[in-house]
Amino acid sequence: MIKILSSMALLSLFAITTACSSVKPPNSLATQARERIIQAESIGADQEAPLELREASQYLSDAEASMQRNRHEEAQLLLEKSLITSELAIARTNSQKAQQAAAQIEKDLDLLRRESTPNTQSNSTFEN
Amino acid sequence: MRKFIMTSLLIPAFLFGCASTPRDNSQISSLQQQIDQLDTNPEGKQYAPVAVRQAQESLDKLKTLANKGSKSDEYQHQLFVTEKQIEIARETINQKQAEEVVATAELRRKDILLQAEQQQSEQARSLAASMAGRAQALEQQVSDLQAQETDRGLVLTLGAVLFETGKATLQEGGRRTVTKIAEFLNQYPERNILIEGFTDSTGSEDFNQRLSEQRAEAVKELLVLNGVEANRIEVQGHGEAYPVASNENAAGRQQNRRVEIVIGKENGARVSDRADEF
Repeated sequence: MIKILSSMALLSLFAITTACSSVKPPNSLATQARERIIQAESIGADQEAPLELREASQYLSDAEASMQRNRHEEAQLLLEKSLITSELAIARTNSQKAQQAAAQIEKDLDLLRRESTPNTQSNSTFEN
Repeated sequence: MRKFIMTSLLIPAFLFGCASTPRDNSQISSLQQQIDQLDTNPEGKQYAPVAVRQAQESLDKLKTLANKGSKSDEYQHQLFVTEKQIEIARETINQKQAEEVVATAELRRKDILLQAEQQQSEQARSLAASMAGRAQALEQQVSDLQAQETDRGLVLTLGAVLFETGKATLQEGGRRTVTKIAEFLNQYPERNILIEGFTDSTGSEDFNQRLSEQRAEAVKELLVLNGVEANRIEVQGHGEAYPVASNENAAGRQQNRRVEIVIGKENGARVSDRADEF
């Protein structure tokens, strides 16, 4: 009876530990995540989206730690987080750069508009 | 008994393994609102259709997970991804709109220059119109000064009343008149001018000759003071010669005491002498 009970307990314990773990380590996803961070850095995300870049790097290193402990499903999710955060860092960097260029252009056009408009005071009145 | 123990052991296993998520509908509707608001900019979604669609698909997946009552981890993960996707869509729209500003900059620059050009030519036109108006007004004023068109040119006569009696000094009224004439002459900077002085026959010939020259000279000085170039102006005194009326009566003598300003007909040509007329 006790034998049966303990084997049942072991079985349920096994069920707990294997319930949420996948088999293969997500190596190609890890490579993608690393490459995406490098891509973000290369376009200047460290300047324009430093928070997102740091967040993405943190998720990547967390994922690498999880993989070393064979917690591959956890690593998979962390890598997905790292990837999407890198995407955001890239989008924000591109957006910031485009907006800065647009703002500079608006400034230039405004200056041009003011310089090219003749002042209306030059029409002097004639006195007799 | 055995059955009971088995089930009692298995129930906590399920509970720990995959805890079901609390359905948070307010969270989902808030995210849906954020996606809808990407369109508050006119045609906002058209700038980033792919990113917006990905965000919507991400949210749809989250909704499915919430309805299935999926395990918390999966739901939280999808929530994270959805929030990031929405942010990416927002930044992509911002980026595309800014890039449109950059792309159309050259067109707008040309538009500004074109408008400025039009405005300038309009101003030039209105300035020309006002100059023409001024010239007309001056000509009208000058015609009030007994202007007379002759073969030698336009002749303006300054009557004796403009001078102090027996002197070459212009009175206040005379100064005003000469100032107006200066303005008129400045409108025609290419025309040469001859100033001729005349007197009546009262007094010695020498005195009258000198007085006529001095009066003509006084008019010249005032014209020069008012900006007329001195080298355009020639001065002649004729004394009591060339009377325009009889010296027998006071009214005639007053007419004879005068200064005439002749404005040449052609640009740069010297005003011909009075003697040439005869």
